[in-house]
Amino acid sequence: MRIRAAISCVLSWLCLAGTARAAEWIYVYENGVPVGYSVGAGFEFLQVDPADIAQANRALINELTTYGPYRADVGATARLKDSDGSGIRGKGKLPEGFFVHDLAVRGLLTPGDWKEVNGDYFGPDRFYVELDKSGPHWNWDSTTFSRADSLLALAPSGSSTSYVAGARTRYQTDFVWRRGSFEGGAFNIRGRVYERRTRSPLETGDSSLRWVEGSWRTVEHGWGLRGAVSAGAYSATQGGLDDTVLAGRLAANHWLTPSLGVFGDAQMSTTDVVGESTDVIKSSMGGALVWDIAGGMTLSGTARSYSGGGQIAANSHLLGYDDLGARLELHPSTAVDVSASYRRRNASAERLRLEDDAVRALLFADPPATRDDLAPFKTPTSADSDRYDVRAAFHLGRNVLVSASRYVEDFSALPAVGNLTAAQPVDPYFPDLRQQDDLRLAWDMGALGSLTLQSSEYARRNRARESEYRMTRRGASFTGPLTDRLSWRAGATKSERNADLLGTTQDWQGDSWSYDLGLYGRSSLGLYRLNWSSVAPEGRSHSGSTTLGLELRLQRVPVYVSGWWRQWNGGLGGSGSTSDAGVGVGWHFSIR
Amino acid sequence: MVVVVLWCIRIGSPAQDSNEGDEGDALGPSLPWYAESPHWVVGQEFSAVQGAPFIGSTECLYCHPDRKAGYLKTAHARTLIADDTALEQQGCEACHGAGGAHAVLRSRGAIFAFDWQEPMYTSTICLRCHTWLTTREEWRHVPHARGGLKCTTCHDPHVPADHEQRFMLRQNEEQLCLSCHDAVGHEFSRFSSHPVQIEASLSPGPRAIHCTDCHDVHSGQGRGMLAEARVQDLCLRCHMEKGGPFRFVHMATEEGIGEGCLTCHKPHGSDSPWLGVADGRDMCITCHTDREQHNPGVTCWTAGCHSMIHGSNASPLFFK
Repeated sequence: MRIRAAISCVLSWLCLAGTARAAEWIYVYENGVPVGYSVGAGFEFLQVDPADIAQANRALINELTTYGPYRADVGATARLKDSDGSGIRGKGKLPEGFFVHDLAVRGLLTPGDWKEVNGDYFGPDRFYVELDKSGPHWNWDSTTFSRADSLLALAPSGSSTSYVAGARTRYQTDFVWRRGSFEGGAFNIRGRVYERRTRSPLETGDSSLRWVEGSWRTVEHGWGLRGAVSAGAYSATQGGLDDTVLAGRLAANHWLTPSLGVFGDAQMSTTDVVGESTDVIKSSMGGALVWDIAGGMTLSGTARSYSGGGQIAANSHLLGYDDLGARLELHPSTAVDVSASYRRRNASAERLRLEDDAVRALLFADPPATRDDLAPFKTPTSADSDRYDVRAAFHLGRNVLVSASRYVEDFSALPAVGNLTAAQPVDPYFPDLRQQDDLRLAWDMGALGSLTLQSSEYARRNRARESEYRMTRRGASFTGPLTDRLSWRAGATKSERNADLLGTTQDWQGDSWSYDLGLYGRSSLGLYRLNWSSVAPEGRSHSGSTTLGLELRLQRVPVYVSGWWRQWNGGLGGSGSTSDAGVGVGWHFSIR
Repeated sequence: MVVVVLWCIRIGSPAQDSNEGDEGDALGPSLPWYAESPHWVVGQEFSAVQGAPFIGSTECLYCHPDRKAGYLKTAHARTLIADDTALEQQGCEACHGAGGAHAVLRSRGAIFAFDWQEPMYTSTICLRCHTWLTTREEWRHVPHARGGLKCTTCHDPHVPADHEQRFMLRQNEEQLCLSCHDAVGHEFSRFSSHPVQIEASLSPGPRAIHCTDCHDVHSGQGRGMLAEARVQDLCLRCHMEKGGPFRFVHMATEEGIGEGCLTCHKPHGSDSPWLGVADGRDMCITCHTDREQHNPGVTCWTAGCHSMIHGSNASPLFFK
């Protein structure tokens, strides 16, 4: 046996030499080592000359120019019913007029030049375009969108039940140029430009951003290195901002051994603030030591330090914080994923002693007081917190996933804060106990469908003020087939919000039920979909809505019809509402 | 060492039934061939069979013509014209390894067939080239990887000819995310939400942002796999003016003792305007419990008073 194996090893060596000579054995990598299989005498690998491969590849690419797809929905919509413009619209108004939806064009202009265009057009204020253009080693991606929607605003009368609609528009372009190598190196140039406009009786303002970033990444000798340098300018008419910022960051990771890795990052930004004599510098650095122990168990130690950049802050503000933490993960198989982490935070801040009479005059001086003016009235404060985060996910068999998570952040004590009205320190405003719990069950019942149950609770408690805010959501959804051509989805969620606020004249609560029902099917006519969703508010602090939509896409003719009706009701105990209904007719064209 | 290798060599089943193609699989798939050599990078031999030569995609498509139309529409097809790259980085064999043995044996065991049970094997193949996105070392600690996902869970390298999604995604990006994170999808149907298009056809209107604008699904490490270590930094990418720096800071907007943006906002969606955790003044009095009787009946900022609630350079009470 050993003699035969030794002969096989020699034959293996001959194969490694790149020859196609006849062989009785081939060697397949199994468990990282070559395992020999007998293939009989005269076996030869298929061999193709590299020059022929290149020529064949070019022929394939030339064939590619004949392929699409090119597709879009082109049509027009009309609003059949529309409440007047003074109602609350919440989300964007239904589009009206000519549209192009789900445009997708892709292919090669010339060999080696990949391009792709995706987009929607609903008018000059509502469009979205993605461009992707790339060659073998580089890529250009850009996204541009313009979004106009309505803004809920209170009327100048000051009544809580009198609403007007404001307008908000945003234009934004993001782009990135990447050059990468198969070895892991990459260089990127990213940019972002946005303009934002808000128009309502009591809130009017424009803001803008110009941002560009150069970043790189290399993988060298097991070290993963990333770096970025960025510069930007932004402005806002509200607040009189006209600032410029320079920022840089570095990150590195390395596996010292196959089971012991080290990660680190540092970043800093400096902001030149108009009207201030000094720049604002923020910095952050962190590190982690990761130990893959065995059997899917990983232990990590983490540290982070953050400096908040309070160079111009004149009132109470955060100076920074230091975090130390540990994380234990257990992942013995894809069926089990459990992790527990702990983080200790030491935060430091400066508090302005509002109880000092001299501060009042300084605060309301014109021009406003600077940090230097108010520095003598600052006092250092600190706050420590412990945060526990536990998560678990279990696959029970192949069809059931159960997951649960909880995090608790506990500030044992938060410092008192100054209060202008009381002219003395008062209990802290921040909740000192923050908690979130999530529970989810997903059951794939095969041909019957799939069921999801979930529950979440978000709670914020201020023990010093004996107040609490709590939001819970519990829901269920089911997706499954009705027939082989028709499937359905149904869901219901109960939301509850409760506030128990010491010092207020009334506690409040707001509950709501939300439902959704969908039918999705296909027939000889074509594809159709019917959706209904509703949020039914109960009590205070909730908004309601109802949406009904029908979509039909014919199979034999490239036409689709869709119709929708929706109604929104503003919460706040107010009476504002809006409703609209519309129908759209479009032609779906596609070249594949 | 030589002795160890020799003992590992065994007499296996010959592939005489190779004419049966992929269904008649004499060699495998066997697991886990990759376990001891997980960091397979460009430049090393990239083949399931030792010494097998590269043969080019045309040879592959000769037996797999059904893959042709779909493959040629993918971004991967661009590797066919990368003349300055090695054969191991071109076409079908860039993922499946050298096909010189498979073309003769017609066995799945003689090529990387991506039907391994261990998801990390699949991802390791992809990350030979896509290291600019994430590395194998980073990916194995990402919650998605720990949850058993692999690259091909979301991406389909063999998209059908009529496939229309970018990045070879199996579905529209949002629908793909929500197929697991369906609870989040519900958030986007609430009164106010970020403009992520959940129901593509029944929400007439243009797209704007995507899940991956905030979540780094390939290398995000923390809770939510956010693209920034601090939530505040993430929000300021598109709302830079909200972050100042201001002379008079609303400390709730600072992440540290307060929760930063999450003090007041629910980023996916909310039943309240402005993604608020509550409506109007109710949002403010959850912290400022002593101000419930302060000008009751109006909201705190849209009524024209604390209109610079994120911070101000002129007013300590955020009036202007």
